[in-house]
Amino acid sequence: MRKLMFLLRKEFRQIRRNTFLARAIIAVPLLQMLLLVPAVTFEMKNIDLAVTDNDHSPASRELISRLSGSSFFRICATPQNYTQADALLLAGDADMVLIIPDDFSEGMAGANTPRLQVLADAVNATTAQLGWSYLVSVVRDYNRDVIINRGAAPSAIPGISVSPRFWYNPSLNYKYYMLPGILVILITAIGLMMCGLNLVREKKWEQVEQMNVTPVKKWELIASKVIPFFIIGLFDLALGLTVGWIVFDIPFEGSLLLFFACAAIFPRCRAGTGSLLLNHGIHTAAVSFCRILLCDDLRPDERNIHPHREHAAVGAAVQPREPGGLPDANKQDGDA
Amino acid sequence: MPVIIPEVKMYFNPNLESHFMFVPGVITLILILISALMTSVTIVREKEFGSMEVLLVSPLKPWQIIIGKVAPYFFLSLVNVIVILLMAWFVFGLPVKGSIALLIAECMLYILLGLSIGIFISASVQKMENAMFISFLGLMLPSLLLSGFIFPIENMPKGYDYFSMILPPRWFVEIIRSIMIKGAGFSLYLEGDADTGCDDALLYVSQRQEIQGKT
Repeated sequence: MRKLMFLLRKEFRQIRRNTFLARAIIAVPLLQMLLLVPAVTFEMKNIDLAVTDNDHSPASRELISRLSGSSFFRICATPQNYTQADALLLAGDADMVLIIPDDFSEGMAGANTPRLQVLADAVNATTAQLGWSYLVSVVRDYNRDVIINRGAAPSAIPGISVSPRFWYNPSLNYKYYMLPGILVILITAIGLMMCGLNLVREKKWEQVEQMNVTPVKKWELIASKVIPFFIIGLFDLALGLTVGWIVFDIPFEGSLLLFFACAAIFPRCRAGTGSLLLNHGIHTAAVSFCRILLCDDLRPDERNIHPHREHAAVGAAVQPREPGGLPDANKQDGDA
Repeated sequence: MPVIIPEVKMYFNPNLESHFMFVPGVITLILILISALMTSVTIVREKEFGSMEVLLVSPLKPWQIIIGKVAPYFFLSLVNVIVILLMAWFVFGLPVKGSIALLIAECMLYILLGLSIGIFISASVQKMENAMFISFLGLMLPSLLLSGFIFPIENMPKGYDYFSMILPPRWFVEIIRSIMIKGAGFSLYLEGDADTGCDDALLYVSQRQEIQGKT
């Protein structure tokens, strides 16, 4: 255990000596959380709506003013015909186009069924559907008001009235949802990168051989590589939560102890001791990146690519120079 | 009692398939990460191994060194681009409704931009691991979340639409969606200019850094 303590002290000193990295551990999560959390939201605002009004009647004008008055839509253009509307959608200048037919006011007076045509840019299917449902609800409110103004009793209007209650997040604040997600991605990425780079640096400067001849056991060596970044990961997690609490008013209703205990056990928080030689193994970088995106279990990369072979082919598994020793320990640590 | 019936026509994606949104965004993300990662260690490696001084005292001009470093990775990334586009086409069924020539040209511009970002990072830091750290972490999440790939830029608070203008992925996501899914052609060649501007600026700045001996 004493050996482990010394090794840990050495690791922390090395991290501190690398001033850039020591500052980056704190600055990168902080900056990215402050920058990214307010931005990630599906609350639709400023949907660019283009309106083709073929009717030019008070009814259609009232509908248009209701749409522009809502916080979701912004009337961006008034194309005169279908061709112009098509061009707007193709150029990306409008997200949705509303086409009001010329018999809309007659329909509202009761002569026939009033119809509206909406063209939605559905490349982003989620936002298209959200925009469409917002438009439908504005139209439905307008419809309801017209019926009430005509003198019909509200109970004569068919429809189910739904009153929702939103648990855990009554104000439907997206930050409550996204902040933990961003935090976890950041910590996973930082832990993965730092641990991999650390191990590779040792191999590069040929210190692994020196380590092998010391009385340090393999498990102590591996533990001394994993534990510092594990501690740093937990520290970053705490930092992120503090930022969330102070800046974004994220509540923390559960038990802190349970949270950090789960973070400690959860494999993502523990840095994988992969020999990610990122300056040569582009594929390993892409693979590790895909792992982060797909939130997979972090298993170390089995391929040990030698740092001094400048032209390592992609996918080549080159055996390191030292026989036995560290590489086996790496493979054994596959389930750490 | 009039009951308004609105009818919707979903343009470009009638079946509302989500991979039309995701695959172009993932292409953007992968291309910029890989390009930046590839070149971010080239100059730093020279600095660490001491061969940077040899290069600097040689009759080579700084711009020649930089172009020499970017060019091989550019051709490598072209292979990458073609593989990714083929996969998008065959595996994910993504159409290319616009002109393929424009698509390839835009991809080339984009990877040149990614490589320039890598060279810029490389010229600015002193250690290889720091370079890899910045290029991966500094690019991944902003490209993923601020580029309009998943979350529309209109939803974001006020300053973000200006901030996202300096992010290359924002432009490229729009470009690749326009070309592949909407079928835009050369007549709608808009956002490419922003890309070119960023690119020139980055190459120039990394050259200046080298000259001033911040290497």
